[in-house]
Amino acid sequence: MARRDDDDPGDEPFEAELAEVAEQDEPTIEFYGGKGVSALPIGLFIVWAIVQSGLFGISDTTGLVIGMLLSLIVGMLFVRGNWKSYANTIFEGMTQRVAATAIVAWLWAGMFASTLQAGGFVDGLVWAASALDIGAALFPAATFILAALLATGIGTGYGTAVAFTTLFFPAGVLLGASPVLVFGAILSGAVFGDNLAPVSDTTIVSAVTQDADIGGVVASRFKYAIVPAIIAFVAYIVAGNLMEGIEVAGQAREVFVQSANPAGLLHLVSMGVVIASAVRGRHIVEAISWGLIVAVAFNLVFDLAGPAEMLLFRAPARSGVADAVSWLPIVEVAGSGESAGVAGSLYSGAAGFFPLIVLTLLIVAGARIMIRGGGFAALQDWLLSRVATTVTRAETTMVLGTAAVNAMITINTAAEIAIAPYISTIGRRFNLNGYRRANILDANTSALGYIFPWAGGVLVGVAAMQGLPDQYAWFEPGMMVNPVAVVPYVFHGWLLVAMFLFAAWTGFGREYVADREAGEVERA
Amino acid sequence: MSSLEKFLAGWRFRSRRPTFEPGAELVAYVTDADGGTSVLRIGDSRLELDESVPADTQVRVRVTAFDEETHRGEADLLDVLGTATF
Repeated sequence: MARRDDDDPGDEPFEAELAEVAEQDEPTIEFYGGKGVSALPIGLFIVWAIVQSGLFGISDTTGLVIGMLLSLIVGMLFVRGNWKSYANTIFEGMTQRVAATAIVAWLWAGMFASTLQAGGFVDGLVWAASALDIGAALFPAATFILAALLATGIGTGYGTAVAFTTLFFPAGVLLGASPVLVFGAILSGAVFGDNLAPVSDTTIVSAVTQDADIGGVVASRFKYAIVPAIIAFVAYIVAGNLMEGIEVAGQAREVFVQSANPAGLLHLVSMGVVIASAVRGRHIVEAISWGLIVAVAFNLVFDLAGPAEMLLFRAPARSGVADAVSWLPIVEVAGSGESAGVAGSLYSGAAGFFPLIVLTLLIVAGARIMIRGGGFAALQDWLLSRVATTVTRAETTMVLGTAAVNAMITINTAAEIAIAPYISTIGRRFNLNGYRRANILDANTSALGYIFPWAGGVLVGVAAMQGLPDQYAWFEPGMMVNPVAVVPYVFHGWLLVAMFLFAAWTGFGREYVADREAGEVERA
Repeated sequence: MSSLEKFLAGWRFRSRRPTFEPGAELVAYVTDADGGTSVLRIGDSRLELDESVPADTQVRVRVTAFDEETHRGEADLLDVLGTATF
């Protein structure tokens, strides 16, 4: 949001402000073939993403980066006249505050999430499941709740799907719970956290692209998340009683006993610190920093993770200085066959976001080209004059459009960034406030990322499942869940989409800009 | 707004045609700027602005008239706050 506070009383009222606004809206790039061709970079990227992730099944974010780079080059070939303005628009797009805010929030969230995992948060949840000593019928419902807790703490649904498929899925099979239902419950929990967590990559994108503060988004999102979650919980109890499992000789406790550690539950406090600070209006960097400090302190004081698990300098043997200070817990000299480098949860957590950061910068640049080339306005005018003609139809378009793009693109954060400008524009045209727009955008992004067989969340869960026969002698390949079979059992995902269609048609939760102004990106 | 109020905000069914009292001041985006008349579309209600302002500009206005039957009204421009950039 560009703002001007200086006012020269000698000028015509608002003349300077309006001149600035008019200048920002003026298209500066002309394309052979008309304004629509300015959509080529983003359009080609979406096709690339569908082919790479949807058809080939390759979930490689860096691959998408190459797709966006090549798309930007192809788009430039269609520029009429000097290519300089096109090149400058790439820079203009990349330097927008929306990209920088998402990047900063992701880096902090990555460090926090990874440190919680290093501190055995999953082990705490495993202990809770073991202590509850529940039977086969209730196991899927309990799995849903615990997976939702983990995903809300670490913000990554993919990480939750891997951790729970590795531990809770085999335990559920041994207990006699329906395998497909347990897997569906794991994915549902992942959807819940991906949608609600302030440290979730999709939550961050949804807030910053819709001019809303992350804490306010989380608080406003709660009403949409909790109703489907309660229905999903009941549905898992009912289905758990109706659907039978497989008979396997073994004890579920055996799976759990290796990794159960009640102290891991201390990280519920770390998670609570971030959520409470963000909702109270603290900047997201401040909120996550406090959570990170608490998490590191718990890890060290309660011996949940050593210093080297969070940060480690592995220096080459030739480094005399490193040898002299190798008594420090975060320094070691690389042995033979070991490569030198920096490691630990802080390092891997932040580094894990690097490909997505580069991709985001390029997609935002592509969106800027579409705006400067007039294609964005043309598509928006068509949508607003033909499709989104009333606020109900506009919100329905936003829900179904986000769901459709996310159903096609495996990596849901990339899909979310690509669709975000449309959600912002359509919603703003009816003065829907930033929270409402962010909630529509993120709920459908999160839900569709964990339902279909080609969705990233399902793929990482299935990949983790494929390692189970090597891990457990009793686990036979026939016990694995077919990703097509799980589609109807991701209850929370389906219910979240249904919730937003209901909200669009009835006005539940709808807020206009005039009702409550969303906090600005500046406050993140 | 307290944290609890933030969680409780929006637990209601909001009309697609909100109404406004004359004299009320509000912040909104200009949504249409065709034919020399700038319009603030808030849901399916419309406020016509007394000055020409490009679409997507955020403004502060004062409502001068509003017909609850047609859900149309008029407003005076008080301040130009900025423009949406994304």
